[in-house]
Amino acid sequence: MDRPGDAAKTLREQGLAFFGRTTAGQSHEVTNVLNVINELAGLQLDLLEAAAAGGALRLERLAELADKIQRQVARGETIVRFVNRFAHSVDVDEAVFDLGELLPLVVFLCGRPARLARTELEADLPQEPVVVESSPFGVQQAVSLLVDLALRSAAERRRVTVSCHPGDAAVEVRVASDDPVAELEPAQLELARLLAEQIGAAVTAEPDEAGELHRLVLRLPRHRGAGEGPGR
Amino acid sequence: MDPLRVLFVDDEEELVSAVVERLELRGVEAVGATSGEEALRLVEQRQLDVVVLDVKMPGIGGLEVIRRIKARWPRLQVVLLSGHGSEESVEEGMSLGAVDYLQKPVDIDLLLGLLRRAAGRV
Repeated sequence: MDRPGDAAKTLREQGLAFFGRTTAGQSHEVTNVLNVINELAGLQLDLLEAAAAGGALRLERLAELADKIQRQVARGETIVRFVNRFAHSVDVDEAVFDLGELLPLVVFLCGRPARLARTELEADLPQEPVVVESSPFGVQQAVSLLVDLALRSAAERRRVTVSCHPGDAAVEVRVASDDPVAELEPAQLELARLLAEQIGAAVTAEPDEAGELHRLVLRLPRHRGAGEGPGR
Repeated sequence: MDPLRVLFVDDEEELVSAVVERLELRGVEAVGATSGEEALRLVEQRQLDVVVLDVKMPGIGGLEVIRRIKARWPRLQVVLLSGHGSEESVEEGMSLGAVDYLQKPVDIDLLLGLLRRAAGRV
């Protein structure tokens, strides 16, 4: 990135692209739920029509389908609740929030790309709240990008884990993959670093004991102004 | 006339089982699969008239499944199932040999009409 203006433009565009990609992906998830409900309700009607024409009607079969519909509605409600939280994360530039609540949201929102990549994505978070003062949207964007990078390098049926390690002055959000994140393009890592700098944080790729890069780490200061990037 | 033999493929398990049952209630011999790999296994094992294939699936996606089907069973008919925003994939799927496509949510009677037409049963 040659000039500060270029970097700011890139970050703005990337922020919008992330917001659009995430909401579009979740709208597909809601559509999937509606499609399933459509078929389950259609099947109920088919069974009722067959019964009206003289066929046998098993009430427990209807109840089973109603139960499946209710579970799909609950699935849809969960998606909408998470998307609503995500949408409101742009309301404030900065807030005091618990990473223990924000990171499960990121893991949920990354669930669709993980499913498409056939990779298991899980959160490993401390029981105690991990409170930071930062940009909720910026943190989500940075962690999502790290998850995306880890998913790209993970083979099918493998696992990517998001964990949180609080320290006194900073918190480490680690995105660890079963597979080495060795194929990272420099441009992708550069973008992750730019996003991190924007929230006063830093990104590193860390080797394991065998020297292979399995882990991407976002080191996030507890308070704005304590970091080293332009977000101060 | 022998029943129409159909394989319905989508990664939403409950969608697949419901559509399969609805097709069976309409006299179709239907079977379902929730992945491209499972679909290819069933195509290998069964006599089928039409495969209904979701274009976007994890693993081997719908387009790759069409390529493989058409390479080995060129006469087997494929109907695409698409969601919003899948227009380009549908276009590519049609160019790979799919005979028709249907947008989700599935209209079961419309699907049945497409299946009969694809199998030359109209």
